[in-house]
Amino acid sequence: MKRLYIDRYTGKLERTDLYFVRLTLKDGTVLEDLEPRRLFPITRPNMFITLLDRNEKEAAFVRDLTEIDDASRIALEECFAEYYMIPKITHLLNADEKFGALSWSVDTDRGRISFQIRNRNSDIKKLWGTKRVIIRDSNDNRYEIPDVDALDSHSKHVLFSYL
Amino acid sequence: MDAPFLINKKPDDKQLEAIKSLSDAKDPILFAILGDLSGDSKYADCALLVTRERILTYDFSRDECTHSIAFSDIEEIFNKRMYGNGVMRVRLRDGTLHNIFRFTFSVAALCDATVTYVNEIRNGTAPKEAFDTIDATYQKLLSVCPKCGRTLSAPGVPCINCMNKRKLLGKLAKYLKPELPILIIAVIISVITTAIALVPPLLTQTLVDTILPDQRRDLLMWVSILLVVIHIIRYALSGIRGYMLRVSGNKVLTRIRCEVYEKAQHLPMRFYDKTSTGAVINRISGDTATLQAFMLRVTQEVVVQFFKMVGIILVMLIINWKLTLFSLFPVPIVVIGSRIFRQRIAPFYRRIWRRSSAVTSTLTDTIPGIRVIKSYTNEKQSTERFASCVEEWRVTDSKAGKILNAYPAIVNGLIACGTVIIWSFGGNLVIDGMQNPAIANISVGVLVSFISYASMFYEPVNFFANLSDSTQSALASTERIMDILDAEPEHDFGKGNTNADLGGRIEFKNVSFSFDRTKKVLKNVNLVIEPGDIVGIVGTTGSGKSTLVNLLLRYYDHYDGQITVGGVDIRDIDMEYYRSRIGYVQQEPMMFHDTIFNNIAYGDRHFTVDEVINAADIANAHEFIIRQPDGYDSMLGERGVGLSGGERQRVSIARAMLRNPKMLVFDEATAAVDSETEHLIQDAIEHLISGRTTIMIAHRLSTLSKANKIVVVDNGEIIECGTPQELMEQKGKYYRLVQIQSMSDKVAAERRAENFG
Repeated sequence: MKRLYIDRYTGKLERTDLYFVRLTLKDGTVLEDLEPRRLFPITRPNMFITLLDRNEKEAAFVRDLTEIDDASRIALEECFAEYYMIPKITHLLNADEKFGALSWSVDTDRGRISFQIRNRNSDIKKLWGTKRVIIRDSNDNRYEIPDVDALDSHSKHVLFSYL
Repeated sequence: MDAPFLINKKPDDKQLEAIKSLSDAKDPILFAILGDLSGDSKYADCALLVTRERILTYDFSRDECTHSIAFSDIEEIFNKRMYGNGVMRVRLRDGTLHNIFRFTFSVAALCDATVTYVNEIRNGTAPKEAFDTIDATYQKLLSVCPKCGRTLSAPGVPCINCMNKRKLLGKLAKYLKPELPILIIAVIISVITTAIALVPPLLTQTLVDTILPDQRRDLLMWVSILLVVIHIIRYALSGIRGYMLRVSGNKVLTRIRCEVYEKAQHLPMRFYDKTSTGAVINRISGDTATLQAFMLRVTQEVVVQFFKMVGIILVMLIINWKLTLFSLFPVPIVVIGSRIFRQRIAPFYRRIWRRSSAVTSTLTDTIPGIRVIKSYTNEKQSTERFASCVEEWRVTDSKAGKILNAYPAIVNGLIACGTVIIWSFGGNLVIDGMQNPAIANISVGVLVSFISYASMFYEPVNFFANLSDSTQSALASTERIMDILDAEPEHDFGKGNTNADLGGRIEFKNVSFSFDRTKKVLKNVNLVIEPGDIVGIVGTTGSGKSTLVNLLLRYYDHYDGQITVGGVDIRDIDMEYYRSRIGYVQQEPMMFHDTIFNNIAYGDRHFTVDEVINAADIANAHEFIIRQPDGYDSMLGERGVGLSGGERQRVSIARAMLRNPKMLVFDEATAAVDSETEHLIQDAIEHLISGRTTIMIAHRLSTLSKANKIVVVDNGEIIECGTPQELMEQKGKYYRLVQIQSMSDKVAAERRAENFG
């Protein structure tokens, strides 16, 4: 099946809703209510973006955010800002291990939050060959530490025994 | 302050006031959700409130009611689940769309229930009935331990896991209890050997002070003989003790291992979805050994070393208290150092364990997949990956090695310096005594015996200082083992209930299921299977057909809705009874490292040889088994007889056949074999299913020729259900699938004809 690739010459995107965009192709065809999704939300957030129609079928595809025009890129970035919530942890305040359950309180770019981690072996993952750490809490919410080395020494100390 | 309405967590007084101010007696709040996201998806306290007539949202950080919408104004209400968060959206009758509530997945289930509730009310469902669902959702939320997320046996009871962790060491005592008599004897022996060990320095003192200066050769001989006897007794006793500890240690280890293994057998599939099997294996083999070593050796030593320490101090004090105080001078430093050390080293142990478990996981993941690695010539990459795992372990362990070795070095240095202090201070006292016999209070012999006591004394001190080491690693192991031992096993609420007729009617009632709460794998499935039905389940991969069967086999129990067999909820039937009466044939059947006979009779050795051969015959397996040189005694598995996929499949059909099951489940049993073998298997299956309720998952629709009912599953929902004829007439999805397959079959047949022609 042929994939409809969008770049700055073939189509333009406008944000029409919290998470919908409108695609206008060069030939004037308009596709409404497309939902952009990252295909690599963790490893390549700005590349390989699929646009799903109402039936969750792929209608169009953006290979790289740099290949589309600025207005379209901003439209996608705005949608993603709403859709993807992966708070970036800036400080680890405290890790409490009482009763065998692991509970973290952290500062993130979205504010302070506490959460529980169910399985410290599988829910705290350092990405292979990077400094990023992805965390999943007991409710399946995701968190990210973009750069372990950039953390302050207290945070590093708290994190240390879980990596 | 208790809220008069349902709420997911306790609000503080200010929040409760704010919530209360929004309601009045005429339109009271029925339930509330305390959420954690503000409208711009920043973390903030906010609430969603539902009254009899409206839905309200409140932002505590801004202290304002952000939305207040009457049900009658709502055109449409729905939740959009996004990534890590969701939003509740309302379309009003005037056409405007509002994002009324942002939430993280922590409260997503409640938000979903709220939407369902509002829709039901709007569709005219009685408020009471609609509220029951809400109530159930809240109850379910409360029946999950807020600390560890484990499902509780009943709402509100203390979590088994969280409660028992406190008594971690108390639990370990349980394993030692049967060995108590031997342990006590061992302790008594060690106290005796310790006491004996205190004698030689006293004799040395006599040797130096009396025997040598006075040239008493007769006494010298007696003292020597005495010393030899003492040493023989001492080491003989400690040998006996070592043997006793080893024997009872093995018993303890066996018990723990078996118990952990048994528990691991009864853990729900959920546990294995999350934990890699390599990690579980590591815990059963490695961690139990660490634990055993700790429980026996270390706990024994604690007693022994304590006695030794007290004994030495007493003897030393009796001989000379001043010199004793001097020799004890470095002790506090050693003790404080060990405390600091303990805090520093704990995280390292975890890290090292995690790294070495990563190495094991890499092994268990790649070695079984060696064929794939070879076929993609991926040897180099997998070697590199393994090497980097080992490398990470090496780096971590080396880092820890710095601290691990610096500490004993420092301690030993301090101890050596302590000996120097005794020499210099005690030496001075001796010289004083020699110069002025009037104040003589210490002889050369006393000094020499003191030095040996002091060096003996540091053994227990050293032991207690290093105790943190073994305690830490043992505690870490305990934690991991308890993770298995304390994990909630598969629920067997119906234990003992063997009244259900498993050949009876199977009913799925409003069954919904999701593995991780983010995506529903099954949505509101309703299905009736009559006794004797042969049901084919059809659908694309990932549509949920295997999950449907997994639920029926009770691999997962935490679904919504109900599955009944013969009118009884399957969760209320005795698990062993239930499963033993279902024949399950998988796509790639697992063969155990055992004889073919035992593989067929697997799980129950009471079958007679005739029964097994009969079952193999019906399954069309007998014919290839008799061709094996070792017949039914052929060993399967590594270095044993390699069976082809189709042969293994027939062995597994024989396995199912033998049990004379009431219900049969085939999970793509013929997906991986050639058409001729498929025919043999098909034939075997037909023998097997006569008169039994049968459920077959199939890709190849030709497998379903005998089915009298077809269920088409798509995206977690049953989209078509009926007899094959009905579905063909409907010209829906099944019709299309049949068309596609008969077309490709035709093409294949033509190609074959060409080749042979």
